[in-house]
Amino acid sequence: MDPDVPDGLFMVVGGRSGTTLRLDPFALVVTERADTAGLSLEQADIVRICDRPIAPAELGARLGIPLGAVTILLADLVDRGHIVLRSAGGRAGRSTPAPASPANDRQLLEKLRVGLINLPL
Amino acid sequence: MLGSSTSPYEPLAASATISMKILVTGGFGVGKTTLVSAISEITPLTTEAEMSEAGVGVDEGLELRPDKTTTTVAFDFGRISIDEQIVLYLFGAPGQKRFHTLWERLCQGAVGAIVLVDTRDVEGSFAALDRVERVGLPYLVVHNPFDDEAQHWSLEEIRTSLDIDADTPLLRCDARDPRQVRAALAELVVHRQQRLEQEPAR
Repeated sequence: MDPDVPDGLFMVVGGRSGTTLRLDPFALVVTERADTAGLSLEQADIVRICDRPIAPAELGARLGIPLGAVTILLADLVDRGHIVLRSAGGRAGRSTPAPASPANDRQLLEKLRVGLINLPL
Repeated sequence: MLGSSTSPYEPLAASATISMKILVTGGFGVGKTTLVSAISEITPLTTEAEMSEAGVGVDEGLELRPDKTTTTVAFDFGRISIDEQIVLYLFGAPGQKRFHTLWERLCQGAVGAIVLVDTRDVEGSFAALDRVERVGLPYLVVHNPFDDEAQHWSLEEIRTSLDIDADTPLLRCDARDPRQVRAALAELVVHRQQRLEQEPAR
């Protein structure tokens, strides 16, 4: 057993190692179907937390699970219709080409600029 | 049920649909975490990503490869809800060369980078500038002044000694001050906008 990979990780990811899902750590994911029947405890947790939009990086931090494992769990939940990807600085998908990044969207950049200037502190 | 997390959970608004992100980088101890903390609406979080020790290709998609030796590397981030729709993430990234692939992944689609420089650590500042140049993000150079600097360099002196391009904005910003940080972030967005205007419309 590889000493750098804790045993528990394999339980969490349910043997789905080797997925090629590319998911931006700061894309937003959200729950589409809230029933948790048949899901693992970790996946049920994710479905509950994603009741409000959240980024995978934040999910990982909140759950104490490394990003790779979060990505794999999410991939499965997307496949099963529980979770949808809302946005991204690079939307994820198995083979769908990434749509234009918000960072290249002039309208969004202007909204970001104005929002920052007016940010209440 | 939420694992080891004990901090109060502050979810995003249900209306949040678009995430944007900005890299905050610089040499060691230059004030990156201070800057993010100054403006983030949440206590900055840390998450871990697995990297293959070999580093060539196998970490594509942040996938797990139990048959390879993996190493875990942490990166931290904060977030700002800009309006009902847009969320801005501010993230740091581990500086070492061997984490370059993770760096590229995190930076993909980012608005740009804030590079904090420290006149007491010219070498570290050079390395940070070099890394950002390599990922090709538009960036802003920020001098976060420290009280114990032996001499107070003017911005022009900093520009010259760090060989910063004339087109690259350089400003002074106290990383502890939310107002100054807010202004620096807005300035970076303007820099991105200007760079887009220079490109032919798509």
